[in-house]
Amino acid sequence: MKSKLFKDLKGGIDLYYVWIYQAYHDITAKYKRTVLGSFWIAGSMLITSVSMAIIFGALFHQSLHEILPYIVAGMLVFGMASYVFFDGAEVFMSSAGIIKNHAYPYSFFAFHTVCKSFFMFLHNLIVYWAVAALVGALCFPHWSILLALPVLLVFMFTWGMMAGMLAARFRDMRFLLPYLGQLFSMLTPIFWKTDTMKGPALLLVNLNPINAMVQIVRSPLLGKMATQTEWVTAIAYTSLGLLLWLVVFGSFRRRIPFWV
Amino acid sequence: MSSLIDLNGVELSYPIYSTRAKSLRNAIANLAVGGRLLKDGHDIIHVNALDSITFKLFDGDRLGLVGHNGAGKSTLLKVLAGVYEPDKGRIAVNGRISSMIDINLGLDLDLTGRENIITMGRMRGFNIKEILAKIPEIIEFSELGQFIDLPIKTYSAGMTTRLVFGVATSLEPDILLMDEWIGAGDAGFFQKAVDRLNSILRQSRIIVLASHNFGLIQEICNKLLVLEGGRQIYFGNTKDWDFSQMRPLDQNAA
Repeated sequence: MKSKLFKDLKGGIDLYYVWIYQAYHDITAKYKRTVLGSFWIAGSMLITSVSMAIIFGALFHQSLHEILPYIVAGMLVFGMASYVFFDGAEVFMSSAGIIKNHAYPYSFFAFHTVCKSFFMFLHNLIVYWAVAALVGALCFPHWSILLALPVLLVFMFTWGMMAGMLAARFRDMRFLLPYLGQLFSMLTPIFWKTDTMKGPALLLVNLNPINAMVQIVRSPLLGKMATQTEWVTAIAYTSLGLLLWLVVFGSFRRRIPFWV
Repeated sequence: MSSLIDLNGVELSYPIYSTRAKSLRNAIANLAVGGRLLKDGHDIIHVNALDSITFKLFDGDRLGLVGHNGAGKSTLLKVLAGVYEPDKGRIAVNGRISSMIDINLGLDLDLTGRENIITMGRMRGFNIKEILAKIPEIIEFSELGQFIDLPIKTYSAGMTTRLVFGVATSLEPDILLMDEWIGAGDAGFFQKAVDRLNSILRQSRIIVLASHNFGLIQEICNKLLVLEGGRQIYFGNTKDWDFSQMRPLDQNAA
C-alpha cells in the first residue's frame, strides 16, 4: 500500500509539464478577451487592502507607510495559506469527470491546484512590490523566504489533499471549510497587529496554524525573519500534515473515484 | 510470451452513498439491474459490480466485452484502466493505456481542435515533439480539414468523436479500451474506424471493446468475455460463442 502511495506521488511529479501548463492556462483563460485582464486578479486584494489600511491605520494611529505594506503582504500570503479551506475542498470534486475515467495519479490534481495558487501569489507579489514602492516601503526580501515557501507549499499540498478527500466523502465539509476559512481570516493578524496583545488572546494567535504559515512568508517580505516560535509552529503543523497525509491518503486513496 | 493483461479473481464492490430511506432501498432492490446488491448494515448500499473475474490477454488479442446493461462492462473497463482498484484479487496491466470510455475526457471546449490534440497528447504522457509529429496524421484521419483550427465547441458530436478516436489511436497505445460509443459517427467513418483498429492490431496491441453490437465484436474481436450480474459467464474465443443463443457453441447439440 505504501509503494502505491509513492508511485502516485512520483506519477504526479512526473507530469509536471502538464500541471504547470494547465495552472497557467486556467488563470489566463478566464481573462481572455478582457481589456484589464491582469488587473482583475489583483483587484480584490488591492481594494480590500487599501480600504482596510485607511480604516485600521486610523484605529491604531499608524501611517499608510507602516500599515499598508503589512496588510497587502498579509492578504497576499493568506491567499496561499488559506488554500486548504477554499481550494483544498474542491481539489478532487472539480475534476470528478476525469478521475472517474482515467487513472491519473491523484497527486496530479493537488499539484495542479497548488501550482495555480502559487502562480496567483507570484502575480500578486508584483502588485505588492508596486504598492510598497508607492508608499516608500519597498525593501529586499529576507533570504528566509526561500525556506518558507517550500514549507508553505508542502503544508498546502498535504492538508489540501486531505481536505479534498474529506469534502468528497462528507459533502458538508465542502461548505463548512470555506466558512472555517472566513473564521481564520478574522483570527489571523492580517488587518491588525499583535503588538499590544498578551495572555490567552496572544496564545490563541500563536497556536493558529494559519498565523504561523502567514508569518514565515510575510515577515521576510517586510524585511525580517519570522520569530523562532513562529517557525517552530509552522514546521510542526507542516510535519503533522505530512504524517497524517501519509496515513489518510495511503489508506483511502482508492476510494476517491467512488466518493467524487 | 508474457501476458499484457492478467486478472485473477478480481472482485469489486462499490458503495452508493446517496440512498437513505428503507423504502428507497427496497425499490432499488426490485429494479432489474444487472449488479447484485448487498447491504452493509448502515445507510450505504454496496453494489457487487465484479465477482471472480479471471482472464489473461496477450499481444494481439482483441477482447470483446458483452453483457446486459449493468452487467459490469464499464466497471471492468475502469478496473483495466486503473481508475478503480479491486477489493480482492490480482490485476496486472503492462503497457500504455488509452481509454476511450468517456469521449469528452480532457477536452476543453474553448480551445481549437489542434490545441486539444496537444492537451490530450500531453495528458497521455507524450512530449510536444512527438505530438506535433503525429498531428498531420490525426488531421487526415479525422477528415476535419479547416475545422481543426476552430474551437471544438463548434464541432458536432460526430466530429468530436472522429477527433478523439484519431488522437487515441495514433498516439500508439499498447492497450486500447473502448466503451460502446463507436456508433457515434456516420457509416463511412464506421468502416474507417474498423480499418484503423485492424491496422493498429497489426502492431501487436491489445484492444478491449465493450459493445452491444455483436456484428462489430465478431468482426474485430478474437476473444470474448461475457458478463452477467458482475460474474464471468464465459471467456474464450469469439468463434466458440453462439450469439443468438447466448451460450457456448459446443453446447448446442449438433
